Amino acid sequence: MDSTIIAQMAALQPFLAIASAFVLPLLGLVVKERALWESFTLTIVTANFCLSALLVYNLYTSFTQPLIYAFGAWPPPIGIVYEVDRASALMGLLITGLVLTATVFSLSYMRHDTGLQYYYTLLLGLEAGMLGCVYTGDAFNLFVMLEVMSISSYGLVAFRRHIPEAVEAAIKYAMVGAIATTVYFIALIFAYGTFGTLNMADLALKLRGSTLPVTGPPLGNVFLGSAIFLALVFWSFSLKAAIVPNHFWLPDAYPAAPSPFAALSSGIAVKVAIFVMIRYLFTIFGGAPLAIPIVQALNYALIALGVASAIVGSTLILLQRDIKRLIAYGTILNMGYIAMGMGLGNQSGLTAALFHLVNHGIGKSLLFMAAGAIIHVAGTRDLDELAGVGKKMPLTSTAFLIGALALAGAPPLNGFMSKLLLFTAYLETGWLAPLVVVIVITSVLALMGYFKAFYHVYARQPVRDISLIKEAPRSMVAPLLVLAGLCIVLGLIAPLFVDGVISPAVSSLFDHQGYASAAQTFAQTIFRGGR
Amino acid sequence: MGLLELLFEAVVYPGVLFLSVAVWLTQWYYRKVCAHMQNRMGPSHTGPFGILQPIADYLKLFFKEDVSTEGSSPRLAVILLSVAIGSVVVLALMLPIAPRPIAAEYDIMLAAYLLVWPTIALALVGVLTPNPFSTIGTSRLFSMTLAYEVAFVASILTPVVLAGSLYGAGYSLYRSCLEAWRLWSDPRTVVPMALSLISALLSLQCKLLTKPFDIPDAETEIVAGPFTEYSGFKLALILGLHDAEIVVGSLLITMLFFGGFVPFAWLPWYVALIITAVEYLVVVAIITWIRAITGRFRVDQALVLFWKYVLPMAAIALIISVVMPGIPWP
Amino acid sequence: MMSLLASVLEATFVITLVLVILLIAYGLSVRATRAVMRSSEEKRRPFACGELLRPSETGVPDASMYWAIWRKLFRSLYNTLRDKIHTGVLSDWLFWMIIFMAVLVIALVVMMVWAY
Repeated sequence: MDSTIIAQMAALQPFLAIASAFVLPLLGLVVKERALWESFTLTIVTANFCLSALLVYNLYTSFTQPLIYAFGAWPPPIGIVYEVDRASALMGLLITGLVLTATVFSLSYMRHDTGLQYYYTLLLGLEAGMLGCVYTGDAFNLFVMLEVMSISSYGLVAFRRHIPEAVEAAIKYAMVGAIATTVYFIALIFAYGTFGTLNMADLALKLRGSTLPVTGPPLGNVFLGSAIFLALVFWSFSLKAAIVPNHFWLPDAYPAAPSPFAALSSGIAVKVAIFVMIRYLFTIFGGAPLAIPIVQALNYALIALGVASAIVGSTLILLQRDIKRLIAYGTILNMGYIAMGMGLGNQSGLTAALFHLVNHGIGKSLLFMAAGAIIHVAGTRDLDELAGVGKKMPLTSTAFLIGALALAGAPPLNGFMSKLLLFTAYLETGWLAPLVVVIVITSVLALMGYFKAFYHVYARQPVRDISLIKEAPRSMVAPLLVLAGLCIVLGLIAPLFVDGVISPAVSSLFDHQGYASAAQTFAQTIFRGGR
Repeated sequence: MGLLELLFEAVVYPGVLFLSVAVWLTQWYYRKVCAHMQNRMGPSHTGPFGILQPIADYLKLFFKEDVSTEGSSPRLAVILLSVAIGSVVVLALMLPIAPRPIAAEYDIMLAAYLLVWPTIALALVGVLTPNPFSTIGTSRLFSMTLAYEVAFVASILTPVVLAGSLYGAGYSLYRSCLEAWRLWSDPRTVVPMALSLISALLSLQCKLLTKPFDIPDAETEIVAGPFTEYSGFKLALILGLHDAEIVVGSLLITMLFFGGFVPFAWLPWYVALIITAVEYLVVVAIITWIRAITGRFRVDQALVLFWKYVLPMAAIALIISVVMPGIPWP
Repeated sequence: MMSLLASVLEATFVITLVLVILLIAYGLSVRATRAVMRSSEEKRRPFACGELLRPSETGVPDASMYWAIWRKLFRSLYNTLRDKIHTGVLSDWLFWMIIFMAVLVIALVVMMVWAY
């Protein structure tokens, strides 16, 4: 198929999500049927999933260069462009797939809540923001989409307004998140003042001496400007990605929030932030002679902070009595692993990081949704009171066990395979090999934490009357079983998956030449009068 | 490697059959040695010198009634224990005693994971019975896993890292066993090898849950810990897992640190085999000796011992092994 | 030598094989002991050294699991982490965030002076 049609598929997804997010409250004024809102959202989310599946299929089989879509046919760097390469398409598929499972899960989970038209609005806004962040090729558009994602998140945390804990958590999260996006805005100011442009491909080109049409050479000191820009971007996105010491908002925001949101935010929204960091550090600024010292310094910082995140996450996971807080600290641990993989800066490290990103997204969503199903049926989050509830919910407990084993790293599930790649990458570097001991210690601690949760939920005899507990509704169990099956399948076909899906994505992330020249040829074609 | 070859290796040699014979003979050996160290006789009735005693014990358990407590999951326990025994068999298949081993680059981390599985299985088996003794035993078991597992992985990483950087063994357990014995003759690597050998032996002692580290199985405190409610075939599986761990753990240390039969490949094969068997029996004797002369630690004493002494020793050995090849030696 | 992930799959195959063998052995053992089994309620109760144990008391509460780790081994680490760092107060979080930003700026300045 023609590349412009495929590129339109990429641009259509966030547009569809945000347009329906605007339409839904208006629809809610007219029609008060909850079933209509649910089917509307489900249709949009499924359409997005099919579009991103087609996008991934086409990008992996037919095209080698990133696809460009120019909004309003304004060429870069004048207009806003979406530049989708294989890694972006893979992230897009992950996002839309997980949003689909979360929406199906929400059908029964949110049954007893009111104001659902706003819930689905915020969910669609979250999806739109995340898709925009991964597909965009323009730094300012990234800021806008980041804000869309963040504001939807704040709203979703505070959704159950009658619980004071939720409102407090949302206020804290909103303040911290607003500081993060403001700092990113300041970084954009520095970038614009130095380079004179905000298009990502143009930034990549100007660092290496050439430029897109219309704009001229960089305005200021490129070395200084890119150093400040990268440092501020690093700080801001490490806050969104919950890397120590910017992680404090995460364990507070999830327990009171609805479980589908916790699954999405912890499963994919923090990954979007770290993906954007990968995009800046590897594709745009990676390999440019002027930026090498700063990228190297940030890589070392990533390794150090990854180790700190792993230690903090794994030690605190043992202390938690609240099942959702326990799983939330597990997220901090795994984001530490992903940061450790990224910080190595080479092909094998980034392969391990990207594979772990995909696996952790699936496993963490599974865990949060399984915990949500258990909490929905049992009515409490405390581990001591949840004792023995899992015995009456066999399917949910199996899904929870598979998710816990996958994230703790039990062979042959997918989490073990990605951790194995991470170990291998660290052993390859030679002098960083003692950090393998840190990974082993934190893995054992995490295993103990997940085991504790499984013991209380499933193996323990009940301490209160659980005769009214029964299996969760079918529309809550179905996404759990799909995700659990995906964990097992991804683990079994791991060699094929890594070679066929992850490695091309990693090569496209390192391919700054292809990324920049795709935009350059696109702009030059338009300026010469072509289409 | 063909599937049929793998099948033969898994079932006959060095798989289930070979391990069963090794478990029988090793159990008899350490029971006799432990008894004589403690001024007892050990098994003497069944067969000459009591050599058929372990077979008699396992047969007895096979024919005993398997009582499953109400509220427990007997079938899940059998599956978990069988998977654990399977992972021990895979570990035996990764050593040079197998004609065509399971080997790959960086498979040392797979070996590290397989070493953890028996402990996880025992822990899960412990909580599956509704008994507070079992659960407390399991929590003690996990606490100790935190102690010894890290030290064990670090101490077997040291010869692997050294063999990888000096002899190009590619961080594979099989290839490292083929090369690591040469490290004793090199004056630069003797110190990390000695440190990691000592910490490997102590960590193996803890991993096998033998005195002074049999804390989860503490008889006077928590009956039998995770194994309280098990009898009959399931208890046979638990004891078989324990003995198989002794065999494969000692074989691992013999092969990795001493090379087994590899340094003596120039001798006729039966002499090399006898030398390997002697080395293996010496390792088992060391473990039995520590077991025969000590009492039991408290769980926090054991944890502090490992984190204060054994883990720093293993970590120093690992750091030396990582840093040392980079220094330009004369 | 084969690829690492392929050897994991081989290991899984061997484990499944051993699992099948032992399940067959379990089946044989159950068949062999069928004559011995007498149904009785008393021996199927959890063993509590002769005391009365209600089912709700057979579990271990959450605070008692792994007590050796946070009360003895890592006591100081947990006290620092829990009481001094993770207080839950928003201004403390902002303090840590500002410290991180300051460290980044200082590292930036150092790196630029060194690179020039």
